[in-house]
Amino acid sequence: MNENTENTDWLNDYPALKNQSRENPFRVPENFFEEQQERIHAAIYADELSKKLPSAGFIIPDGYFKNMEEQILSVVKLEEIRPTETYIKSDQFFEEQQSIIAARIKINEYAENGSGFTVPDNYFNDLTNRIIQKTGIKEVQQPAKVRSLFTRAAWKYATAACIAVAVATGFFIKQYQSAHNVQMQLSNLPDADIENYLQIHADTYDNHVILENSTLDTDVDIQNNQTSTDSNETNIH
Amino acid sequence: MSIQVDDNEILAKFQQEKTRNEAFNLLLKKYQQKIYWHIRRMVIDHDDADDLSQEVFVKVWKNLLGFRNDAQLYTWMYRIATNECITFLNRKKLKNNISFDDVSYELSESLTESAYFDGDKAQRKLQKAILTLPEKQRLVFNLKYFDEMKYEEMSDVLGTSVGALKSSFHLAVKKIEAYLLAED
Repeated sequence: MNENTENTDWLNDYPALKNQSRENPFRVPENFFEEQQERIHAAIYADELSKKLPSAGFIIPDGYFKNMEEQILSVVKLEEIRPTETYIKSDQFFEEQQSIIAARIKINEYAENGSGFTVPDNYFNDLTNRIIQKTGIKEVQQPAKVRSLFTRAAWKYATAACIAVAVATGFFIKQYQSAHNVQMQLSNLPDADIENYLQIHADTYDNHVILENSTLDTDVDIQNNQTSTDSNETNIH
Repeated sequence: MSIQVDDNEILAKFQQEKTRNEAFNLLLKKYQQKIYWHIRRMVIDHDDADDLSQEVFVKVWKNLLGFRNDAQLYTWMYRIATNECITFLNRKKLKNNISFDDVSYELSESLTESAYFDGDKAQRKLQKAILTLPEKQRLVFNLKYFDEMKYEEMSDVLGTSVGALKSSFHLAVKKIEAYLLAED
């Protein structure tokens, strides 16, 4: 073999390979290389751009990827611990339930359509009469009892209560009138007599009490005081 | 037809910010198809090759300012493309939980079903023979047979010694010849 040489003489040792055409059997689409040049330029431009804008202008919060990892792990954990079936049921629960539902539907239909038996009209109304006739029992109508609303005892208590109220009212009125009679008598007395009485029988300390309990107007009191003072002075002179 | 602009000129223009886009357009015109076909022969499917070749050129753009002139520009880009292919195929194995043989089978099926493969029976047979190879041998065979890359350049791309590459290529060619002779 002469493959050490840089020419094609070595092919003489391999006749089968030498007979092969060296023409390129592979093909490419039309204008492929021209278009590929444009795509290479575009790829280079995109690569340069990605260097200038590593995040492509998008900003993420601090620790976003760490938080996202934690959140994903939490969800995965929750999925792991979540039971596949929460409720327990018997193996043939749904089959049994279906048969129960079917049976209830049939019963309802049966009830709505009736039992299939019928009775003559007014059968049950006549039935009671016919039973009574056969047994010989006569239906007796008892008169209704009339109960008086007022018994004798109630009348007694009511009368006594009325008398007591009347006596008490009379006594109260009498007392009230006697009290007012004293005041009326006093009001008929002349002022001079009352003043004389008070001058003779009243103490020095009573003046204060008399002034405090006086029901007259202040002007009147003052006039009275002046009058009394004048009268006192008159009496003194 | 690729425009043959000197790599040094491309690199010099790329260093200047105002001529950077122009330099990259020149680079695309010069290497875009080579890189695509290298990837396509490894992953077979057109859409996968499209995605991966875009990824390669985005990486080239991002890292070209730091490129050292002691390596060749195109072997550097081939290395990026090769690494993308190996990563893609490994991911495919892991994703589908399948072995290398199953990946080869899937790629072979993809070749059959692909709307963008119109080779004749012999070409299809050759591609299926290549798909029986382990990834490393497939890479070596593709780079040598289709891209006519020198072993020294291949060494830069694959990070393997020239001797190991020759050995891999020798094994790969023998397997393919056997496949082509046996299958009919």
